[in-house]
Amino acid sequence: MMIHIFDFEWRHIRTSGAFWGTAIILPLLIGFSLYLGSNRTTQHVETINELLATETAFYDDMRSQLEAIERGDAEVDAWFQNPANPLVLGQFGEAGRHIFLHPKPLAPLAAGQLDILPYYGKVTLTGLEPLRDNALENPFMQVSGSFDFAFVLVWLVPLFIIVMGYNVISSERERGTYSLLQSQPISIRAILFQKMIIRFLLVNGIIILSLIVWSVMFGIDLFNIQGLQLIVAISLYTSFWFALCVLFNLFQTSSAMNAVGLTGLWVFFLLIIPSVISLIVTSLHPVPSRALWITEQRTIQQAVQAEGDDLFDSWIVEHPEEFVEGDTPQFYNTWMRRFVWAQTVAEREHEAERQFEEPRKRQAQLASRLRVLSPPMTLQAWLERKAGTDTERLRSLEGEMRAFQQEWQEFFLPRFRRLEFLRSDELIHIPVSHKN
Amino acid sequence: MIIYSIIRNELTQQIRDKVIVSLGLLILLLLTVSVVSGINYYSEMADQHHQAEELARVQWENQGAKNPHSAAHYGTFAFKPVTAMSVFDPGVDRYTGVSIFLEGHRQNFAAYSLAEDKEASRRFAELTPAFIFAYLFPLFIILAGYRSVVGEKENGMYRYLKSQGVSTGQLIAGKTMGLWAVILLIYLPFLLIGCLFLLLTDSLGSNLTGFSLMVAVWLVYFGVIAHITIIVSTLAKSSGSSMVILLSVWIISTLLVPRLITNIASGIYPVPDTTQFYQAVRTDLLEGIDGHNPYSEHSVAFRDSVLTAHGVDDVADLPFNFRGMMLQEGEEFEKRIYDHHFAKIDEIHRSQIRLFSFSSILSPSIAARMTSMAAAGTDMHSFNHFSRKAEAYRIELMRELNLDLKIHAVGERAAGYAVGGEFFAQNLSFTYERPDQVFIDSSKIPPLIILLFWFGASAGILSVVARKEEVL
Amino acid sequence: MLKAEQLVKRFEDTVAVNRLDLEVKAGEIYCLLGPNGAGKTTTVHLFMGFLKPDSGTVKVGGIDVFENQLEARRRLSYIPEQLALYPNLTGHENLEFFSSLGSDPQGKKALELLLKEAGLQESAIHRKVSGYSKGMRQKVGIAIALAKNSKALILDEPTSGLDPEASNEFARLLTGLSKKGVAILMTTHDLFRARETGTRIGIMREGVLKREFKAEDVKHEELENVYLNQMRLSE
Repeated sequence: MMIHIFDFEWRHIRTSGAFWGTAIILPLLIGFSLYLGSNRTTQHVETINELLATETAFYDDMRSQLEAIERGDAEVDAWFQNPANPLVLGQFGEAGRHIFLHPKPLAPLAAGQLDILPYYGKVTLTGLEPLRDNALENPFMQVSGSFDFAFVLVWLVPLFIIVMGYNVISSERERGTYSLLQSQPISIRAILFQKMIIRFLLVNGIIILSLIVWSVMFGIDLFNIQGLQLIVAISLYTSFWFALCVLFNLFQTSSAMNAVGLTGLWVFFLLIIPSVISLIVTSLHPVPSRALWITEQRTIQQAVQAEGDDLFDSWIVEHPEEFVEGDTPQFYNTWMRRFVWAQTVAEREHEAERQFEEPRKRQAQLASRLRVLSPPMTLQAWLERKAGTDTERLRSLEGEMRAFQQEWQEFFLPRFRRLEFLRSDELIHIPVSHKN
Repeated sequence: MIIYSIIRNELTQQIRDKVIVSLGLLILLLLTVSVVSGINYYSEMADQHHQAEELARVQWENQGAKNPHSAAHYGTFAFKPVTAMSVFDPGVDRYTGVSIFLEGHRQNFAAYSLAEDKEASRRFAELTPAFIFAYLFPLFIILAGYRSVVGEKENGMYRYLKSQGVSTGQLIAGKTMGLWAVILLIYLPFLLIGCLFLLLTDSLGSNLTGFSLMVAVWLVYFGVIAHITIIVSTLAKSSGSSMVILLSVWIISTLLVPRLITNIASGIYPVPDTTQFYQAVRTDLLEGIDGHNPYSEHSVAFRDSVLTAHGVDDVADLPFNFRGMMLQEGEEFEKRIYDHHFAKIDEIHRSQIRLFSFSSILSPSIAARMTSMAAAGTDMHSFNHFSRKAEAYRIELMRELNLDLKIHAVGERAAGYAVGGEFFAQNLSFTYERPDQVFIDSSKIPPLIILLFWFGASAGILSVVARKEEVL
Repeated sequence: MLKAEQLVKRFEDTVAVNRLDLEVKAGEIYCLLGPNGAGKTTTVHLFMGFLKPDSGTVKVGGIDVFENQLEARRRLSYIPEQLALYPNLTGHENLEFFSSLGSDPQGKKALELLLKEAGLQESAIHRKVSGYSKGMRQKVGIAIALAKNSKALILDEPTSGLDPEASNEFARLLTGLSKKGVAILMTTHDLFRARETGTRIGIMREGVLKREFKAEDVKHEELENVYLNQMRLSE
């Protein structure tokens, strides 16, 4: 009997504009979003590969220069051009390593906060610079947000579902077929559920099929556990909206009222709740303006500069064996001081950053708790996490850079402090970020 | 007289409709909350920026005795002003950097946008009056008006009214004005709240033009939506299809077209990535004077020309400090290069925005949002105006520093020349005043014209529809 | 076959059906007469189980309509006053759909036969219902009842809006069904048709079954007099 209802329902559905609208427009929207997404990700991969290539080229060049010098085929012009100098290898110019947050397999699906936060940065002995290859992007474009798969799924799919399901029973009532249906030995609820199930299958079929077809076309890898999770998430989300449609069709309301009510819920979950959450979160845990941070940084730098020699002297007292006394080159004395100062500045700045870090963390915690009130927000957050474009992951870049800087310093600084230059065969031991 | 009764009848019905009343009250509540929370936010931000501005100046003046050129490298900051109007419409405000670092030799981008520090739920929606006006208010209008004509047809009142001697034109005119009345009933209290806010923050005077313009823009936008609602309600076969058509219009206009067009625009007019940009700048910089490298080809040529002009053989014999002169020469050259490259980026941004603003032919909400941002002074043009002023200040400050070096670091004083707090205190300081005419810029005109066109067209179609229905 | 005992249904302060006892045996055609608002349609809805009675019971073939809805509906067919079908399906497809909801699906030929038996012209069977007249739609309704092989048929104002010829044809169909042992309960305003077609007639007023006749026992004029008398009483 279920098959029969499906069969007849299909005869109705295939003559309905709402269905064909969905069947044509939705795949196109998904296709366009995935096209943009795969472009974005390809660009990231290219940027990463280019930077890695220049890094490799630089160190290869350094090594061949150094080998030439060791063979006696070349001479060193100046200390800052000496490829054996730890400063040249770890601090100056192109020296240093890039740390990347590599795109995850599902990265093309959600742009997340990528337009705002950087996904890579450069680490040198004193430098810790998150880089944005999209710093020139028009801020105006960021206001509207990205047209990604997450947007199509979270924002638009519910609307298609509402269009397909708002009047499943109410239209029977308005057409008058309701009483005849009601006189049959099957409950209206059973009919309603079956009508909804076929619509659910159709909508999910359209989404998943076009997702797969476009993904294959654009080279997005969905055939893994992540892809499966995605399909489950899509089904859960669409079920939620279909369930709301069922609920509205159980009440004896008109089609127009159903449309109003369902759209109202859509507005509630996608616009009202998020705006209220963002209001609550920012007023409970306000993050101070960065304008203050800029001047504060300067204050710290000035303080360290003022303490200058005292800081260095006390460092020497604590680390007597790490400083070569006597007739050392000028650059050694300069840079020994600079490293101590840079270290102090970095520590103090890190401390001062807390006034931003703390409220930001509390905001995120509170928001993630409140988010459960709105399935669309929950799904959006989940998709961003899966795509690796969520705030938390992008924020983790700085920590990773810091960790790598530690490693980098541990390699170069002891050598520099002992005024020990590197040999060409040591260059292969220069730290590489494990993630790359 | 007939029209008056229809308006009154319409208004009475709306006021008795619980759904409409509760939605109207909800919108008013949200508006109030958004403005009240805006007051806090605004005063806090304004305070912090003020502090930062003062501190930055103090830091500049107390940077200690040093060579003027070291001071140029030390640099200072320009802070983007916090405007009261951004409470009504933040526009791009959250996404542009709050401050620009001003230093010698280079122009920097504004850094640290508020968006970086904010929680991501804000990207769904941020409770501001502009958001409520652009998204929620149209829904309210649609809800209040989708049945207005088709409903009368469905319950048979239409024929009955006609038999009472009411013409379709009168009915539609009455319904339209009734809807307008409902809109004003919610909009006027907002105007009061808005004015009160501006009074409280002591910024009514300076923002009167902007605020009035913004208020007018949204009202025109509501008019467009109201007209479309009545048109659809007149032509639709049933109130159900009227609802669905209007909701589709709303979704396409507020949600789909804006996102689609911005993403298409950045695809058609791509901005270079930062690395490429700096690479191009570096390449061009090599073509001119490097103030720091006296041995570069261009520097040598410049030095020789200066020496010849003054008839001396050595820079030490010049009556002024040559380095100061060369630094200024280099600074000006660098500025030209940066200006050139920034202008290119700016042109790309303009093209993107132009495409976007023309897409408001498809979406009245784009037209309204863009005009409102412009009126609030939170659009890209206003931000660029600030950046240009900051850059103009930077180059003046650099000139001051280089000139001092050129004039005073002469002879015996040349070696180890330094200036102190007294000098820095006399340096130009940067205060940014947003001029009123920021709005009047050619790039702003299309959205406004298109919005007015929407208004005229929708009113025109409405009257045509009314006349056509008459014949039937 | 159809049996109501002490049936009561109230809507707020009005009693729509008051202690109604009514029985329709197999092979009978029971016509329920009465003015607007007499409680006829409410009675029909109570028989169909669309409404829940405040007290009393309704049974179809001994099965309580309310306690065992689906089972009762298997035995019951219903043709509402405005029989609406899916306009974008053909008569045949509508029959196929509705009959498949209750029981095992039947073959295409069998369904066509049923439609013919219900009096639908052959040329209309595979046309879309949107072009059907009310009479044609009702024939599809009869066919649905036939397909279900129901023991009882309930009709609400079936002849209103039918031209006399169609009305006649319809009456013949009902008589045919009753001969097969189907119990038929129909409401109507049409005194003439009620006496012609019905085997029993009941007159209802203000929710109460005031009078019952055997159709063969009354002449048309008598029926009309009784009916008008009842009407006068209600004023």
